[in-house]
Amino acid sequence: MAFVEFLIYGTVLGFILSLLSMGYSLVYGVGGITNLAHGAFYMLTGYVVFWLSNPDYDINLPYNISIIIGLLFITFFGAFIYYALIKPAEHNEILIMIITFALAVFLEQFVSTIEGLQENMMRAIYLDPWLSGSVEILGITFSYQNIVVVTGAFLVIVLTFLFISKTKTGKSIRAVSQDREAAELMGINVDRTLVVTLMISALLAGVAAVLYVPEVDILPISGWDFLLMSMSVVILGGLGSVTGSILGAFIISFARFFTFYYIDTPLGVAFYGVVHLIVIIIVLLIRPQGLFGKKQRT
Amino acid sequence: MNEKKESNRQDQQDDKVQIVLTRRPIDEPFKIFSKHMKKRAKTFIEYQVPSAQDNLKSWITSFRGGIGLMGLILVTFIPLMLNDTVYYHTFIMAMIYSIYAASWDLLSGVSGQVSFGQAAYFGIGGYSCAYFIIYLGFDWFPSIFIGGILAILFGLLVAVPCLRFTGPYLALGTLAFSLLLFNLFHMASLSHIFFGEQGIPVPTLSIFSFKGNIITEFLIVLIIMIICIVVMLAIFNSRLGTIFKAIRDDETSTEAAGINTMRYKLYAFMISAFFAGIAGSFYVLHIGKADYNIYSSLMSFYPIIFTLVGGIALISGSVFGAYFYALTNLFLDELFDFFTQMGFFPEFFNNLPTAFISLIFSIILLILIRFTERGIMEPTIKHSKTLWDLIIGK
Amino acid sequence: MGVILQVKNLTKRFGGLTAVNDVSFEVERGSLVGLIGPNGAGKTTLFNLISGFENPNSGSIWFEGMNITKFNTSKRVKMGISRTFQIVRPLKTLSLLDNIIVGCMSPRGKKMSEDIGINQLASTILASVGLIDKARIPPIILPHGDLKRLEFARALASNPELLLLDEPFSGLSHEEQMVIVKLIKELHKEGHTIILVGHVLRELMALVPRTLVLHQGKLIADGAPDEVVNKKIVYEAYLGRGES
Repeated sequence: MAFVEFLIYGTVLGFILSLLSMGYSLVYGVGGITNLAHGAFYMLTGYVVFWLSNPDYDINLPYNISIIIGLLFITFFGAFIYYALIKPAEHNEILIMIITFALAVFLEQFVSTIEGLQENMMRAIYLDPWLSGSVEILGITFSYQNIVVVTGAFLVIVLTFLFISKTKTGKSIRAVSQDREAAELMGINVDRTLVVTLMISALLAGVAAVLYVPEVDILPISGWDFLLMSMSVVILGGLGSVTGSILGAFIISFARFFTFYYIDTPLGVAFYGVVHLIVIIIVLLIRPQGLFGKKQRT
Repeated sequence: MNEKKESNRQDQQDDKVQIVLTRRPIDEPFKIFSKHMKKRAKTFIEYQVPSAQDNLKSWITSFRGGIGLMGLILVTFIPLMLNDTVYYHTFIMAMIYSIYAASWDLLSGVSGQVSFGQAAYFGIGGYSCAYFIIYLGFDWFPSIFIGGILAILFGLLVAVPCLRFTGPYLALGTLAFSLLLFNLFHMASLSHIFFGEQGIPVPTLSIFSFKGNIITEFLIVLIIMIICIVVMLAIFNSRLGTIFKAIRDDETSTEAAGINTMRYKLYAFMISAFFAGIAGSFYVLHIGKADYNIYSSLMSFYPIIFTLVGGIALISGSVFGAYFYALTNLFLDELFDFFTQMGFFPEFFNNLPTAFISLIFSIILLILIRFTERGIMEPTIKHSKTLWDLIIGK
Repeated sequence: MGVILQVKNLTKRFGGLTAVNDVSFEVERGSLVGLIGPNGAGKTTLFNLISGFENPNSGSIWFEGMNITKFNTSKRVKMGISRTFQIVRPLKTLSLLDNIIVGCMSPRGKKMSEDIGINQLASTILASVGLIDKARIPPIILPHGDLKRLEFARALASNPELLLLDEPFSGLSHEEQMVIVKLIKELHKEGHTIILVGHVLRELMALVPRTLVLHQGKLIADGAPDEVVNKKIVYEAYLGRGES
C-alpha cells in the first residue's frame, strides 16, 4: 500500500516540480536571473486564490474565476517585478539575487501580516480540489485531483514546449538564452523577451500552485521550500538542460517520498524534508554540473 | 648594434626610470636590491604606510572620526541615561546585530563571497553557547567563545564545497546549508539531538550576573561589540583586508598575481563565521533561548539588509544599519502603542502581527536597493560634513 | 644558458575554431622574443595556455625542464611565470600601491621583499614604471596609459622568471611606449626571459632579437625580425588587415 502511495505522490510532485523548475531555469538561462522569489510566487498565488475564493475573506468569488484571476495576477506581477526591481539591476547577478531575496521575504511577511490580521494564528491553507472524489483503477485508488494535477501539468509542459519551439517569441527566448548580444544584434528586443520569460516563469509557478495546493497545504514560509526544491532540481538536472530538469524533478520527488515512506533511521526521524537540500550539497560536491548540464566556470 | 646605442642615449636622458629588480634564484636574498634601497631610502620614506599611532590620531581629528566617537558616546550613554529596560533591550539588540551584520559585510562586501546563509553560523554559535552552559555547565564567558569556534568549524564545512563556485551558486550553497540547519533543528523527532521545537531555554540574566541586571549585560555587550568591530576594522585596513578586496575586485587577476585565492577565501569564511557565532551566542543569551528560528531565512536576511542600508564594504555601514533597524523598530513600536492608546484603528493596531515590522523593513530595503547607490550612511556623512564645513565657515 | 620554456605540439580548440594549431617552439633563458600576428591569430590564447588560464586539447608545455601542462595558474605563478592582460585588469577599489602590494604578497613576492619590506618593494616597483607619484590613487580615474604601466608593474611583483606581456604597447602614447621599451630592455639585460605580444610596430621589431609569427593558430615564421618581415608568407598573412 505504501508503495502505491509512494508512486502516486512521487509522480504528482514530480510533475509539479517539473513545472516549477522549468520556470526557474528558463529565467536563469535566458537572463542570468536567479529569482529567489520563485517559491514565493508559488506561495503567493496559492494565497491569492484562497483569499479570493474562501468565504472567510468576504470577497468570495467562484472558485474557477479566482483561479483565473490568480493566474493572471501572478503573471502580471512577474512583469511588474521585472520592470520595477530586476531591470534596474541589470547585469549585476548578485544584486538581483539580493533583490529577489528581499522580495521573497517581503512576500512572506506580507502574506503573514494579512493572515495574522485575519486570524490571530498562523494556519496552513488548502485550496479546494478541482474535482473531489476518487476513482479506482486496477484496485488502486486515485483521487481525481491527482489525475487533474498530472494531466494539467503535462498539458502545460507540452504547451510551454510548443510555445518555445514554435512561436516567434519562443524563438527569441531561445536566441537570447544562447547568446544575448548576438540576439540583440539580430534585432531581437531582449528586454521584451526577458519580461515575457519572467511572466511565463511566474505563470508556471502559479499553475503549479493552483494544481498542488489542493493536495498539500501551504504556509507563508512554504515558498522557501519550493524555491529550494526547484533549485535542487535544476542543480541536479544541470543548468541549461530541460531534459535534465524534468528528470531531476522526478528523481527529487521520488527521493523525497521514498525517504518519507521507507527510510526510518534508528532515531526515528523523517529526513524527507531535507532530502533536496542534501542533494544540492552532494551534487555540488561530486558533480557540480549536474546530470546533463554544461560545466560552470568557477 | 643600433639597439645598444639607443638604450645608452635613453639611459642618460631619463634616469628616473631604473630597473630595480635583478634576476635571482628565489632562495637567494636580494642583496643588490637592498643596496639600491638603502641609497634611495630617503626618497621612499614618504611612501611608507603611516604608523598605527599616526593613523589613529589623524582619524580622531578628522570629521569622520569625530562622528564615530560621538556616535560611540551616544550609544553608550543614552541608554544609561534613559535607564529603562526597553532602551537597554533595543541597544543590546543593536549591538548584537552590529557584530552579526559586520561579519556578513566582511565576507560578502569586503571579500566578495556573497553569503545568503549567514544565519547558519549565527545559529550554531547560539546553540553551542546554550548547550555548553546548560548541559555542560560552562560559564557564559568561555561558552561564547566556544560558540564562535564551533561556528568557525561550520563555516569551513560550508566553505569547502561552496567555494568551488562563485557568485550565484556560492550564494545558493550557503542558503541551502542554513535552511538545512533550520529543518534539522525543527524536527520534533530528533529532538534529543537537535532539541526540536522548544530549543534550549537559557535563563538569561542569571548568566550575566554580577548583579544579574540588564545594565551589566548592556555594558558587557558594549565592550565586546567595540572589541569585535575594532578587530574587524583592523582586518579591513590590514594587508589581509587588501587581499580580500583584491579577490572581490578581480579574482582572476589576483590569482594571476600569485595569490592563493582559495586559501584567503577560506580565511574570510572562518573570520566571518567566528564573529557571527559570537553574535549568535549573545543573541541566545539575551533572548533566553536557542530555537530553530535562529536559522530562518529572515535571520539570514537581517545582516544583508542592515549592511545594505548602512553601506556595503565599510564595516561601519553594518553598524549603522543595525542601529538604524533597532531604533526604527523601537520607534515603530512606540508609534503603534501610541496609536493604540489614542484609539486609532484599534482592530488594526491591537492585533498587529509581528510580521508587520519585518514587512516594513523589507520594503525599506527594496526601496533603498532600488533607488540608492551605496546605502544611506555615506551620503549622510558626506552631507553632514558639507553642512559642518558651511557652519564652521570653510 | 639553457632552455626555459618548451612548447610542444600545442593545440587548443574552441568548438569548431582551432585557436592554436600544433604550435612548437623553444625559448632560451634570458631571451627576448616577440610574438606577432594579425588579430585573431591565437596570440592571447597561446599566452593563456602557457600561463595556465586555458588547458590545451593536446600537446605539452615544459618550463625549466618540468611538464607543467597540468599545473594550475597559481602553481605556474609560483614557478615564475607571470603575465599581463591585453585588456587591463587593475583592482579597481585599491590604490595603485595596494595593487602592487597584492602581488608582493604572493610567495615569490614575499621572498623578494624579505630584506626591505613589502611597502618599500611595492613602492620601488611602482617607481620603476614611473607611477610612484600616483601611488595612493585608485585606478578608476587614471588614463589608459597609466593603467597599462600598472599592469606591467603588477606582473613584476611576483619576481617572474618568465614574463609574458600581452600587448604592452597598445593604447600608449609614444613617450609611454618608450618608458616600457626601456624597462623591457633593462629587464632583458638583467637576464629575465620575456615574451611579448604585439602588432608589427617599428619599436617592437627594433626591440626583439627574435620573432615568432602566428597566423590562424599556426606558427608560420620564427627568426630575426628583418628576416621574418621579408617572408612572403608573413606579408600575405597581414595583407588586407590594415596593419601599420
